Amino acid sequence: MPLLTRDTPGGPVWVRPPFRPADYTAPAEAVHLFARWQGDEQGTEAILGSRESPFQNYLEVERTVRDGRTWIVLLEASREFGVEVEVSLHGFGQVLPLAPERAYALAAARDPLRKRPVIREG
Amino acid sequence: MKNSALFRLLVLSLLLSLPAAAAYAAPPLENTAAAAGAGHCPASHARLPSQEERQAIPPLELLHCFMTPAEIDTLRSSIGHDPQTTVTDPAFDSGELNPDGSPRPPLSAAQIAALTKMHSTLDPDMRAGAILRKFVANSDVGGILFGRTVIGSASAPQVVTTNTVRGFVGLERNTLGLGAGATVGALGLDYETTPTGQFTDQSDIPLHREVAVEILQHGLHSIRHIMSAQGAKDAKIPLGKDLNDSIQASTPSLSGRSFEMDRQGQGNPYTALGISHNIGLLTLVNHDGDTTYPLHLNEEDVMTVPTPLSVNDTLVRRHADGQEKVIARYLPIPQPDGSTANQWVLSRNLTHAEALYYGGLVQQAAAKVKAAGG
Repeated sequence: MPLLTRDTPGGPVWVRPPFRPADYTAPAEAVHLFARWQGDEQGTEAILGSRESPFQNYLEVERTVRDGRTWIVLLEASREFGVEVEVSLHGFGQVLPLAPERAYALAAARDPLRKRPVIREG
Repeated sequence: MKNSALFRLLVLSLLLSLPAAAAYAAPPLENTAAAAGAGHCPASHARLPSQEERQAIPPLELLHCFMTPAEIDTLRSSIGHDPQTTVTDPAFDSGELNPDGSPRPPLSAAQIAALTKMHSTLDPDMRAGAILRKFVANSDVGGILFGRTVIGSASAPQVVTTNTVRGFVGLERNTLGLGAGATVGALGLDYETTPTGQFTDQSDIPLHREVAVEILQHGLHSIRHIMSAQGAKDAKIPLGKDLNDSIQASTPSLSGRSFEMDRQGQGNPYTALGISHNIGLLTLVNHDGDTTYPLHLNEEDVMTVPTPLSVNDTLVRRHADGQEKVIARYLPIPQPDGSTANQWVLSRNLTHAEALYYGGLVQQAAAKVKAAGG
């Protein structure tokens, strides 16, 4: 969910509207694009690290190891939905849409880092 | 023996019969022969070019067919502006700055309108059968010819095949007739920061680079690829958020043809306008001055999914004066086991020095792949 801009006497601020699952749900086409890279010649790290990657608008916000497999949580920087990808030597392993509640929490956690104050509503 | 280094070197050394130098000259719009396209240009009233002719017409000339000079001036003025003012994530803050740290002004409504019109005009030519160029670093040429290369860190090398086109791409017409230096400038390949690089070397002028000695010595290489229908669909215009939002909302013909890709880093030549341009690449002709390459209007794309090479794709070497030579062609080659595999085959028209150069690059690539366990 892109933040909204609001002018205040103290200057412009950003506003995070009340949580609505639809605002933080990964679109099917976004998940599908990751899935199309499954089996690619290059590994996950190389794809995500390339300056020419179509995933340049995604930020790695979390990395975990579960059952011996490494997972990266990616947050789309503007629309703020999330995708979790399994690290693979060949493209991506499993690709999972992130639960909207989790995407919201991860996006909101970045609010203190932003250059303008963020007012959270709701 | 299939895919073995020995067999690949053998194939490359055969120097099969291939067409030599390529001249991909663009016919001037007013001089083109029999009219294949019906009607006239809405802006210039010249004859409307056909689909095929459009592939070989420089973008600026084509734009004059559809846009007024004032609109094109507005288009040109958009360079150096910030198309991502509504981006809120701190990862992209420095993308809103010029290399010297000054802020980029936001795009005006007129500039957004002109950019939208430009992309609406140029994008339909990214279609099945379109002629694409993917410019590559000379350090990658050996791996391309060999068919495999090594990526990753020294501690975790990975052998990968090089049979796809990926990343930033553009139609051949974008750089038709340009010399190697002007091509590097037009494509915004001045992102390197090392003293010497593959495309550019450092200069004496802060924030400026100059065309790499490597290119002056060995030329600038590109893969000339004929686009498939799927590849054309997967090639999309990378745009900063403001511009992408506007285009997606206002222009049905570009719906799904662009995607949001914001600029990170103030030293990044990526414009986020769907136009490639250098940050400050010094021209070759004024090597002792501070003149940089002017904007050469074009439309850039990113392969959102890699697309495979096609039979008859060529590897082309471009010199500083703009002359080009076909170095190798991608062809189906019978294998010892009776199967057929697509491989690069060097042109037989290479000079002795060129054959030594490319043979050396292939040997180096083979050695790296072998050392990495491939």
